[in-house]
Amino acid sequence: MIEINNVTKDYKKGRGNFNIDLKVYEGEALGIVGENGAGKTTLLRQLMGYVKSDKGNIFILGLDAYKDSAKTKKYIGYIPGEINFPDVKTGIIFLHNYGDSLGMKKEDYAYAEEIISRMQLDVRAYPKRMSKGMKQKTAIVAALMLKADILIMDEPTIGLDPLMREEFLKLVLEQKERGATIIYTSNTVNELERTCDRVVLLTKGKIASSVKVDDVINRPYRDYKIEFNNNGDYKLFLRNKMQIIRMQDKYNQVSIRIKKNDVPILMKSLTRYDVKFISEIKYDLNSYFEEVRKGSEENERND
Amino acid sequence: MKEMTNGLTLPKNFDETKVTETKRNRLFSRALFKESFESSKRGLFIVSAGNSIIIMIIILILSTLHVNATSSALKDLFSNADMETTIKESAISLYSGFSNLDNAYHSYYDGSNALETTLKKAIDEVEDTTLTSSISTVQTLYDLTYRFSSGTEIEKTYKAKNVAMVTVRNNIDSDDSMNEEEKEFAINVISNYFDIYAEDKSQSVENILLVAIPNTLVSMIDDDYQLSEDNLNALSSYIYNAFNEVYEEDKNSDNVSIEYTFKLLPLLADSNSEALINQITNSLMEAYLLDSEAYINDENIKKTIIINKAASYIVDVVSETAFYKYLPNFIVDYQTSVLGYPITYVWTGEYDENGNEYYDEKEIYYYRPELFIKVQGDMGTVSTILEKKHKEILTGECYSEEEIEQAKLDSLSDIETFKEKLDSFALTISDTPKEDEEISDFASNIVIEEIQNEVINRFNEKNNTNITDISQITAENYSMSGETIMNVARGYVASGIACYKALYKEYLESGLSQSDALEAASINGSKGVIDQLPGKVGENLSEMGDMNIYGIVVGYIAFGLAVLLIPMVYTILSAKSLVSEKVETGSLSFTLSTPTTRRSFIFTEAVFLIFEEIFMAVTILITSILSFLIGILMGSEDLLISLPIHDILLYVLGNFAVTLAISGICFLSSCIFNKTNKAIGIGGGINIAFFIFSILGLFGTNAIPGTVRISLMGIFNYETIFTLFDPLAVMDNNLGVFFFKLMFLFIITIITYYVGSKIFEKKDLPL
Repeated sequence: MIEINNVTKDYKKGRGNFNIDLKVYEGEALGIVGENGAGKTTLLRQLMGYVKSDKGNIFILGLDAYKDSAKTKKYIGYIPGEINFPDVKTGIIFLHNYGDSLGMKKEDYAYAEEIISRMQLDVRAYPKRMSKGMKQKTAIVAALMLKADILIMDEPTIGLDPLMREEFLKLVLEQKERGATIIYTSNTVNELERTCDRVVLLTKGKIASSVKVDDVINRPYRDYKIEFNNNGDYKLFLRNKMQIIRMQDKYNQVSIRIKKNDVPILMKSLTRYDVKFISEIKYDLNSYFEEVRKGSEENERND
Repeated sequence: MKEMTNGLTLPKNFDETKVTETKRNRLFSRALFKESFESSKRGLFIVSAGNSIIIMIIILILSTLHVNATSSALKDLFSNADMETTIKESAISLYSGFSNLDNAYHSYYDGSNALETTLKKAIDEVEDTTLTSSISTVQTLYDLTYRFSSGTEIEKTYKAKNVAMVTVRNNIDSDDSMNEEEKEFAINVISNYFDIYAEDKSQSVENILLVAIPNTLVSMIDDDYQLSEDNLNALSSYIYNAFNEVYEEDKNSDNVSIEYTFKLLPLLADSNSEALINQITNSLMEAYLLDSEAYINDENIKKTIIINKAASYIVDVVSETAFYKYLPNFIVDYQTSVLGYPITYVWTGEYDENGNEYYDEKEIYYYRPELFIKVQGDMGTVSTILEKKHKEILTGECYSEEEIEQAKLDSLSDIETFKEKLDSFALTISDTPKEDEEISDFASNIVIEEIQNEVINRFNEKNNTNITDISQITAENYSMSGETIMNVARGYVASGIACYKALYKEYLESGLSQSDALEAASINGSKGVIDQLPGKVGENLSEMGDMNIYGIVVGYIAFGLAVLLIPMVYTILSAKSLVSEKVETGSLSFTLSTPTTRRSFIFTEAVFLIFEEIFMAVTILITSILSFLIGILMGSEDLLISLPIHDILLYVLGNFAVTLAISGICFLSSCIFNKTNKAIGIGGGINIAFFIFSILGLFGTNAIPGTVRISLMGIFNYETIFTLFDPLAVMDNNLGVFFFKLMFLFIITIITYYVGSKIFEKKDLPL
């Protein structure tokens, strides 16, 4: 559906993105995460044809994203990172003008109305004077109402209150369900974890990691932190064969990793020790990328 | 699901026709245009209304003025100044022509008659028995005195001649039939006679007289005319021949005296009259040779020939320089002499009483401008005829052959008129020379009569009447009453002639030749008051008279500046809002996230910007025409004359072309820069600089009268495109220049819009 072939846009001084190679398949939701200035927005601009790549090319539905930019837009719903509307009187006028230019008919606006209602958007407001959240909601409606085949969203939840953020995530999942291909950048990994199939970590303009969300969340092992009431039990426990992640002798604390199937065995064996507490160390995308970042920082230090 | 050539799959609802439709999309996007219009319409209406109010106020204010009356009064001043010079020139040329003709006639006629008579009388005196017998008597006394005197031969001869001459003087003095001249001549002849007789006493009285009389004649003429050696020799030879022809060849003394007068007169002429005397003498000689009897018997033949020849000579002299009047003028920035030569000062090597070096004024007869004495303050004067004659010396350039030919053609009618007047004066020439006053009146009357006819004709033409009497012209129906006009004209005539006479006398006394003095006095005597002003002062006053205040205020001030400023500021902001602001704020991302191409976007924005300029121009056009019509209804005649409707149309067109070019520059800047402050700073800055330059340059344009013009400020006009709208070309009806300059504004517009669009299509958009 979307093919990004070895794309580079060099803004100099390390800014931009470099040799990005990525494919997004039909119906796939791709999350892009990265620090500020990592190249997320640049990549979206390249996808939208606003910026010409120095190298490589991008195809969307087989069309060149830069040269045939206008042709691709019929199939793209886009939420820009910086939202400002043209100078029109009300939000609804903007949405109508926008829909008209996308070729929407009157009957196509039913879904728009549904989203407006769900996002609690006051469409009578003057777009130039809307709050950040209102602007964001209006942009979300504009992008989603077309039921486009492709959704490109640049940090779409900024400015939304928690309730609206939840509602938005539901909407995204609905889009995904109906088969939309989604590209979603965010610094809130949790959002990506809930909505995306795959998440790409961009660091300094390069893909540092690409991982399927399922692979992270449904991994085959578990991590636990155990603290013993006395040092004897603590030392006795350490004699077992297991993968130790971290030890804190001072507090008689140890973190271990075991296979998912071995959890009952662990629990049974712990009855023999004087255990103060046991807790599972939760593992999510954040943790995953934290590890990746640490790993790459260590690599850089070693280099 | 469709399979793409590159292996990717297309969505189920992928509609190729939509893609093709997008491809076919017209450049112009009505939705975008509508959106731009909706957001700009209030500003556009306010600016257009503001501009309309300004132009309406300006035109209505102008319609309450009567500037043309002032301008026309100033023009009249110059027209009067021209008239003054023309009247004076005409009066002086007639007066001097008549005076010279009368003088020439009497000098020649009287002079030739006197010479002829003297010659004949001298010849006849040889045979005069009274003279011969009285000489014989005195000769006896001379012989007796010589015989009885003692001393040397010389002493005896001296005593004898003294005694004889005392007797001769007594006899001649008591002879009442002779006048003083004849008495002197007779005494001289007899004195000469005894000198010859003393040498050879054997000759007869007649033979001695045949030598003594010519000798006496020659020496008397020489005393009067101070002849050159060549002329004296020729004179002696002619007079001896005349006597010989009568006495040896037995010719008629009447004929001989006439024929030899023809030969003698040219010898007696001075350099001023030589040419005229030669011409008259030759004509008279021809007439005499043709029929000598008729010539002798009919005195009118001689008179007519002299008058005609003198008149035609005067016409020739006038014709020689008349065309200089019609050659193009130039400004003379050097001090010149009365004859039009540039002046320099040369140290004589002497010192005055204060020990300062004493300088002598010298005329320069060759072209060396570094030696000329500059006119103070660089305020030259318009060249006089005399200065035109010396153009090459003054400027280093000659008049072209074409200019000279044309001037000669132009002067033909003047010469013809002058000739007619001279001929009519010739008819009044009588035996008695005219009094100066009589000649002056004759010339004045002719000029005054002509002026009167001219004034009546002009009045009739202007008022479509048919009056014949100057008194019918009054201060109420004309600018001045006929009587006042004629009084002014009489004043000009009298002062012109008086001035000429005074100058002529002064120039002769200063050592100028008669012809130079005459020429210089004619030219300088005819100068009017305005003519005597320094060139630049006259030029400036004249420009003020010609100034079209309506054109300057409406063309330059209103359309060139006032109603340009608000649209310019509006256009700077509008161009920024239409492109760079949409990029900077990111609102363009919504537009470009639809199938609208960049080209379509930028084309539509360009069309909208141009539409705004057209809208403002149309509004201002309608308002201007309405204001004009209101002005006319308010009774302003000046508007119709000085601000005709087609001028207004051209001013609006020029103003429109400038605003288009402004919009082009702003559009280009807005397309180049993503930041609005840069787009405004550069695009607006350039236009504001142009605007300021055109304000400054206005003080250097030719439309501003010289009195307030600062020519150097004109340099700013070359640094702004605003001056490609040239209201002066409209005022001068020079439409070729107007449209030629305007064309560049349209070219600038096309280039800036095209380049701006192309840059926008290619550049990266930070959306």
